[in-house]
Amino acid sequence: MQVIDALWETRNLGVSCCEISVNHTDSTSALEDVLYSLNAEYQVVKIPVARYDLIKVLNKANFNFIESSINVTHNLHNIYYDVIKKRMNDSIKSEKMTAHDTEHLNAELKSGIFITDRIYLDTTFTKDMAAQRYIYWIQDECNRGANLYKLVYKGNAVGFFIFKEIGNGGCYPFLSGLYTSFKLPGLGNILLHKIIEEARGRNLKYISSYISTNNIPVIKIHIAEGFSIANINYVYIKHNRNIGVLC
Amino acid sequence: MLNKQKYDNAFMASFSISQDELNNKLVYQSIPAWDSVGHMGLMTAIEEAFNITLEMDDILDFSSYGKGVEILQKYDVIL
Repeated sequence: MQVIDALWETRNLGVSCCEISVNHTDSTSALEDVLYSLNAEYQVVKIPVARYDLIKVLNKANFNFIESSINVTHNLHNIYYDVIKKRMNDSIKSEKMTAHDTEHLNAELKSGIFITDRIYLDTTFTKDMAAQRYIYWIQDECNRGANLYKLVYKGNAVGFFIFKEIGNGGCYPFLSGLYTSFKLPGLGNILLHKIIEEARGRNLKYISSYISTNNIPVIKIHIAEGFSIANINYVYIKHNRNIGVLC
Repeated sequence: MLNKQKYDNAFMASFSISQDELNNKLVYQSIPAWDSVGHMGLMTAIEEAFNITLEMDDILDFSSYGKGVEILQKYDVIL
């Protein structure tokens, strides 16, 4: 079991936060011991699927289920191009972002382009907090070497992705999305395809990413683009005090 | 087969829906099946049904059952 004091969430969300990842081999008593020692205002617990014993412990401790997190991987072999996808893909380019592009991205994030994550859906937090959390997260990862790309169609930035290499030939493109005015039919597929192309262009061996069951269209795009499911975790949350008191 | 029937068949086969659901209220993301992935399947079905090659702008603009009728007119497909 991993217990992480998520200090970055204090800056992002204004609350102390603890994230716990439970392993297949962890016992209910081990989880109980950890849960009852926690003081963090916002607590997040990720457990393996099919562990009803752990679910009962979390329910008893007043945790609420918020999503399942799916770890998906792509081995970068057998990239599938049908005629239409190739046509669309050839019409759209990916380019590294400039500082001006990053400002545009931040404005899009503030407008609320992501509406299915566990922070956005949690009424204890605000929509602005959910957006600002992404902005901080991207800044942190760029400071650690990740790269931001924009998708360009007919001179317009239509979306973005952030690309992070994780060693051993792997990469973790942890965030991507279409901008508000360009949530158009079919573009989601091309966005993910550009990420695959970037990984292949860098001669990487695999992509590993996490997607939420709260966003079914994104799951379907990953399947269509040849991703495989590596693992699934249930995610539970608990608030120890009303965030409104803090704000 | 009439063009209208070909058009309807493309929607019904792509989204597993019935004839009753084919109307101007059927728009992109109005049903779970018509998402980004479903759209790619629909465009393939439309191109095959009418033996046409849709331009990129038209693929992106094909956002409803009714809009598709307008777009196909550009390709001399009258429904």
